[in-house]
Amino acid sequence: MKAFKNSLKLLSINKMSNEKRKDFRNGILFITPWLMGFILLVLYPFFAALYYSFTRYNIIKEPRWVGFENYIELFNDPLFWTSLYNTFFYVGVLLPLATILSISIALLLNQKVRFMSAYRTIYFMPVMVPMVASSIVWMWILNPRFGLINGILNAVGIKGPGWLASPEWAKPALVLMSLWAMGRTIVIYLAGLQDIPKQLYEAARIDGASPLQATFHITIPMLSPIIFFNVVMGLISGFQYFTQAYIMTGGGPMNKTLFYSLYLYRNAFSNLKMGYASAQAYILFIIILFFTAIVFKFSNRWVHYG
Amino acid sequence: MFKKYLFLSMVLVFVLSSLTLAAEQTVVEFWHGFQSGRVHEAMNEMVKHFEETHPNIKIKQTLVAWGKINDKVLTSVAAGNPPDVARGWSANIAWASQGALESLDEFIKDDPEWNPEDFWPQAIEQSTYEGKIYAVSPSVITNVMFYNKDRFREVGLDPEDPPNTIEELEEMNEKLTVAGDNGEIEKIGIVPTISAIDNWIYAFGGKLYDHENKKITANHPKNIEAFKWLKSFIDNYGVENIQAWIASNQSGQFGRWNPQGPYYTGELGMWVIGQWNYNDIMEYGKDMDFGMTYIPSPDGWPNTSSRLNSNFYYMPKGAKHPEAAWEFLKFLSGEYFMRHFVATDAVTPARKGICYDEEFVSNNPWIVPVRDKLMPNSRAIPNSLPIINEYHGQLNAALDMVVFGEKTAEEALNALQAEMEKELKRALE
Repeated sequence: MKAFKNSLKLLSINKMSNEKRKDFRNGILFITPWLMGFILLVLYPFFAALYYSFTRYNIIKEPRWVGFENYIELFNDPLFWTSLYNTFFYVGVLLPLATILSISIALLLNQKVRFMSAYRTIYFMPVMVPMVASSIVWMWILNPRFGLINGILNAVGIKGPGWLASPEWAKPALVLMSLWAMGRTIVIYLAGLQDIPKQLYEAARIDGASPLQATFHITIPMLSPIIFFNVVMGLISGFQYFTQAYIMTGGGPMNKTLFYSLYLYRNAFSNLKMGYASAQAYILFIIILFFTAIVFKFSNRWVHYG
Repeated sequence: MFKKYLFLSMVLVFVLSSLTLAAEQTVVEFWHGFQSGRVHEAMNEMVKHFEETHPNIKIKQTLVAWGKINDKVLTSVAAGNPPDVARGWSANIAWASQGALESLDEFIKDDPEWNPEDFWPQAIEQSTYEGKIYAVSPSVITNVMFYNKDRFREVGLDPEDPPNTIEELEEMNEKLTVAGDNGEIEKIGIVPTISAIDNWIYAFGGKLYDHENKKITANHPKNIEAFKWLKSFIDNYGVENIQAWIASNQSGQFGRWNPQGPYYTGELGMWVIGQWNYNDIMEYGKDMDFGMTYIPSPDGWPNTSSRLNSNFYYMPKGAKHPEAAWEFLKFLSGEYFMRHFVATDAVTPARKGICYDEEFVSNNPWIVPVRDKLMPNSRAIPNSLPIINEYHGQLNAALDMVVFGEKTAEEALNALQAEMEKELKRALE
């Protein structure tokens, strides 16, 4: 709050000296391109969508005000609940798994072993593949008959599932694919690991701590701000999960991979229900806001800023 | 001084010349997606021919990818800057209820040369919304059943006697199917669910929409029958095995443009698809001996019908040059265009007369079975329904539920009926 008041004080142009005023003007001029982009492409659509969420709007006809009707209909729409469940499932399974796995991999990649930079590159590489391309590749990896995964399972005598074709396995298959593309979080964890002061480990060793104890009592607590950051980012991107499902399954089979954003997209651009889709977008916004706020609220219990 | 005069005179020349050009020629903005290959060249030829015969009109072609053209036209209509003519499909008629299409009735009324009676009635049905015509059709596509004659011979079936009834279809399918010990399908007769589901709905005598009473008919008893048959057919081989087969082979539209695709290798014995697949087979399945027939139905010929879809050229709402655009639309649904352009794609000319024309028939022998056995029974997809996209999507989801045993056919289709009635009411408010 105090910082906010200070920044307001900075903005009271009247009290500024001439030089400061000039600086302020130049500063504003410098960020104008960004500011214009932000206002036109982010701020305006953000509030326009709020307005449209209270209307019936199909792009061509003028929007018609209907009050809360879209929201009421959404809560009675079985597909809305299906898509919500699918999205919660995805985030709920992926986020803990991704956090544990990427920390473990980052710990391994932090060892002093030969060819370490090669390993690091390998783990980061999936991030550099465009999402659409990797989706297509994964469709082949998950192909029930000719795919890599079922090929391996077959070799050990297991008949693999239909993956994307199977109602039970389609969502786990997509989670699996997301786990493969964790390179970015791994790199952030790795940077965090290298920031932990060496003397902490030295002190712990002198006190007779085992490596495992050091991990749980030094590494994890010291890494907690990074974990916090990655959990929040993972939460946000997880709730907006779209591209892979759009390309690989299109929501099927049996709507088992109809994720929230996919259903939103379908309503907006295929069914031309812009108002309805805008209402969906706002509900998603509130959901993400809510969960991020919860993580923030409880962060002081486990996040340590060394 | 001299420079100034030179500049002024140049401006004058420019203004004058553009004025005279404008007076002489109207430029018609035309958006389509024939971006490459023989259709691209053929379209250029057509435009050239049109411009030669209509010296006062110039066509400006803009190529837009097929997957994006609907979105682009729609946003251009919303922005008030649409093309004069665009290429689309019968699904675009749904835009009529949203006010995104110009009605063509005014032009048709005053034009003795363009007569709806010259066209296949299904094409006119699809381009009509609430009694007004909103698009012209160059061609119609019926779905047909192709079958692999080589494969028929291999298993001892008569290649000249494809299945007529559903019962025969099942028997032949049994012979054509080869499955491993664990149920994994190696070869199969037919996978009915890779085709649009309404094919089977129509074949069973069902329907999606009752035009006369303006009523959704998702839970029509015949629709339920069709769903039950699909379920029992799939259960014979195990839903996991069928789904696995589909997932394994679906890339690239089931290898439509790939000589190793299941259509051309005998992995699939029979399939129901748009008649345009004929040209694909000629190109990618050169060595395969194939036949083309109508879709089997419970009672067999002539009690069967297939799904029909028209291709469209239309004038988006707010087109700047409606008169010139109509001239071009007339050309795009005229005899010359159908003879020279439409036939390159193995689709049926929308003008009925051409299908009986001797020269056309001798150049395009496939038209005979299509004309005689398929067209009379083809049902137009009710695309003027403003919710048709959603309807098709949810129809597939409903079939998924039935196939995986989550719901019975009655439950799934009754739920769909209620859902779609609600949506339609909402859309028409």
